[in-house]
Amino acid sequence: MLIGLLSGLAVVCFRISIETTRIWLLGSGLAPASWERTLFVPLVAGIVVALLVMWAFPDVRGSGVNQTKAAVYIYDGYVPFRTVIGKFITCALSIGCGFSLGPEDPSLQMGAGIASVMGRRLRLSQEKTRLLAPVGAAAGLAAAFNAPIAGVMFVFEEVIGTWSAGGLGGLILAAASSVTILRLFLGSQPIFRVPPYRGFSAPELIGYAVLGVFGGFASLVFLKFLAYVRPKLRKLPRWTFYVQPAIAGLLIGAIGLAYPQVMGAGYVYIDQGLHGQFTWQTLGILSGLKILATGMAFVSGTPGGMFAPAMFIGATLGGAVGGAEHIVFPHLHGSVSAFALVGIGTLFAGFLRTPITSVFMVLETSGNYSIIIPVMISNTIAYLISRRYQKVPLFDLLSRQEGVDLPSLEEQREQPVLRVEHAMNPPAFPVVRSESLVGEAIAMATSANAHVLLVRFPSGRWMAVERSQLDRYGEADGRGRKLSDVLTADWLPTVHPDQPLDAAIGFVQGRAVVPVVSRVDPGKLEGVLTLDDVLETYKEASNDSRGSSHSVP
Amino acid sequence: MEEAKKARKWAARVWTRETLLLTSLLALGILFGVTQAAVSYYHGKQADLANRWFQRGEAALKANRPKEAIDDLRNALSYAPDNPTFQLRLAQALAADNRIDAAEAYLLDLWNSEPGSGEVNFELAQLEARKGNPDAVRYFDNAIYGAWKENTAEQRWNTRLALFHYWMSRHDLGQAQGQLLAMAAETSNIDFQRRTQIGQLQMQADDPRHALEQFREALRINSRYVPALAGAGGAEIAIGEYEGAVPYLETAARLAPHGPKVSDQLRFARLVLASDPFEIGLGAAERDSRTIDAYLQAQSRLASCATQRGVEVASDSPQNPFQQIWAMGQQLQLTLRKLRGQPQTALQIMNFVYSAENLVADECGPLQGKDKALWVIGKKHQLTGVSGQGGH
Repeated sequence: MLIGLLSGLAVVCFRISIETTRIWLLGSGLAPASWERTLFVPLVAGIVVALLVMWAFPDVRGSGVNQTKAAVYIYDGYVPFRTVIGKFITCALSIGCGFSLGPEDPSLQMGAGIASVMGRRLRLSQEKTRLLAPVGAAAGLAAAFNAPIAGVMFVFEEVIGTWSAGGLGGLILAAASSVTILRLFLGSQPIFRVPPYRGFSAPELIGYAVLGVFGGFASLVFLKFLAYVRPKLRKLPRWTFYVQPAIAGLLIGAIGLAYPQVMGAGYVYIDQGLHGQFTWQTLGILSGLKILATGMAFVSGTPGGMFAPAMFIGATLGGAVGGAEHIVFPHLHGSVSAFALVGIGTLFAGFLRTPITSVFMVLETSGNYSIIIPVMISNTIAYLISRRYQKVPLFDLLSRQEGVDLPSLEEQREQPVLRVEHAMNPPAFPVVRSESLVGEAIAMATSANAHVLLVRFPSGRWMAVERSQLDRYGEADGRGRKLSDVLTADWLPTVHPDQPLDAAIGFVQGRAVVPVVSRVDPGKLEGVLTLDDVLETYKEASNDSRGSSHSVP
Repeated sequence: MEEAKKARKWAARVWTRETLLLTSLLALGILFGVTQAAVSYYHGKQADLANRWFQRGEAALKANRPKEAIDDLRNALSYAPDNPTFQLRLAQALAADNRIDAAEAYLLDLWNSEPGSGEVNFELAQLEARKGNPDAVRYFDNAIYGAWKENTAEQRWNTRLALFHYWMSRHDLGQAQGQLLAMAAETSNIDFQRRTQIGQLQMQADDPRHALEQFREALRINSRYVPALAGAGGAEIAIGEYEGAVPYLETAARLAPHGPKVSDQLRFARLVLASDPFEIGLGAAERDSRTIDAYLQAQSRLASCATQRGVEVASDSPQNPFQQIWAMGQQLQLTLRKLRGQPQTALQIMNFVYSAENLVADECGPLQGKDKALWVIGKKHQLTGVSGQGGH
């Protein structure tokens, strides 16, 4: 909770700093006060930011999400406090001066940094410190979005990747407290206001599907731009790092002369797009220019995030598709606002590749559950298109460009889970009831030429008995005794066909065989599992995945 | 010894942790204070900027520069996105710039948060009316019965007035008249100016009887109020009560001698009264004289109109309406000297007059002066033309 409170305060100050910088340097209007400011303020800011990044805060380049992931997976939760300060200053300057970047990614990293500092100062264990960074990240992101659920979901989907009750509790508490702080100081209004949504008719879903296609390809263009240009710029001589942000700033300013909407995070224009303030042609142009402006800002190494630009691109693209749909199909009544709102989620799914967060994001910001069907349709299509043509997701792409191979949570999600049913074999061992006589069991083992028999007890429990053991029990008139009387309680563990194979490994070690039984009837044998079966299955799966292993584009 | 060392180490660690927690709480408190100060400055600055941009926007809107107003109001809204006044003004500016859909989006947003707001409903109603959307009526009704921040009665009056104009634009006189009756019911008895206004609107809505009531009500309070006098005269004329119209119009003309419309109406009313052969109390000679005058006037006008249209009225076998009516007139010419004591003959002559003037009105444009007076007399006495049976 303390992490959430501190992260919330940091995000409040961060947002105020961005806004104050904008008012001071670009003017108090939505568009910059003059053409000179439009052109030269981003240019000068680019130079200052480059100097700060190169001399004072070298770690603030790149994605805050990846840096948080690196902290979790590589550096035992360590995020330097200097990075927090650096992110705050450089991002406030760059975003406030019109760079087409967003404050969410830096907020996430600042939250993670604050949590990391807390963990270190409290001398928590390495394990706990590692867990704290995502908690802070969720708090920072939740405050930046003013949307606690989306913040938590994103961290689970992109940073942690696994669900645990303890982790979830910490994340929710931190996210809730940071959002509370944000609302306490800056009010409870969402980052943009969503007009009332009037529901949809079935034919309109085709329009939303079309939006998904456009969103998927727009995401691809954006991703391919980053994949192609960023490595090239990173390979340039070091001195160019001083001028790259300035050149990007100048180009963004040049775009801003005609379309000032592309400058900065653009929340106000998302709001206007949601309220039908632009023609569909203008919205289409804005979405294209925003991809260009954001791409240039990011590849130049200027610190800042891509969440807000992705939302801007999604909203404008959605509005453009919605507006065009009204012209092509005038009888459909889906509002442009609804398309713009769905578009936000579509870009989240296609570009950031966080399909679950994208749905929650739209639901949380719109406060309207009935929009979920268009959002799910559009997001799914965009996600599938993006994944089909760009195998490596954004954050993995960025980390690999930086030479760090962080675990890809999307790939982890995609990996097939090996289950017991993949490794089990039909029961090759004779099965006898515990009420059977020892002599009967010996006869059965002899006829089946088996060295092990499985014994089923009425309670549904199982034992394994070797032939040599049976022979010992059968000596000296023992053949007439019941198995249940002679066997000592050495129960076999049982597994079910749908259980992950990982969980079964512990059971098969040191045992000849483990029964695979039905969940409905524990006495019903579905198959058997041996250590050799398990190892063979893993070996086959390993060979398969090696054949289709990914490559960095 | 070893245990004591461990205990000291543990105590030191706990102490450090507690100290750090306390320090963190202290830091949190300080950060709270610093953030509060920063936020106060920020909010103050935002409010100041919002008001400055709003004032600029409102001035531009009043000066009929909607594009400029839109930019300024958008700037204002960026600092106070939830301010309903800013949103409403922006919607008005957008509507003034003919960006109906954009204006509607803001208004619907406002409506969602304040569905009972009279102002929002009124703006929405006007937008929907411009789009020709029947939803306009619903929003007008909401506005009439909605909550207004100030001048509720005045705003409701304006809303009803706008609704009246909406119905008039859709040529639905019944709904328009109903709206005016509702306006009359909500108007104070002593507000003679507003009653006169209602009367004038009722005249527009072709409801002269109710209009006359409103004018009379207004004159009851202020008998020298010229618009009401003129309105009452006009309403009497519209009803066909020329005798009743004259006193109102005479008074109006006396009080405002330069009112051309009143003078024209008065002159016309007097002409009708002076030309009507069916007027009660007329002597036989006067009645005959008026009838003959009417006949001659109608015959002359029919002939001139036929000439204008290039039609020869005299014909042995009448083919067209001109010739048919002219032939009827010729037949009646012989009866002119035998009018006295023959009311049926006078009626036939006036039927001819009405038919002739009707035809002239159809073929040669609006009637003027005495021709119009004769047509009005025919209409007033429910004459049916040469083929029908008239009577009064």
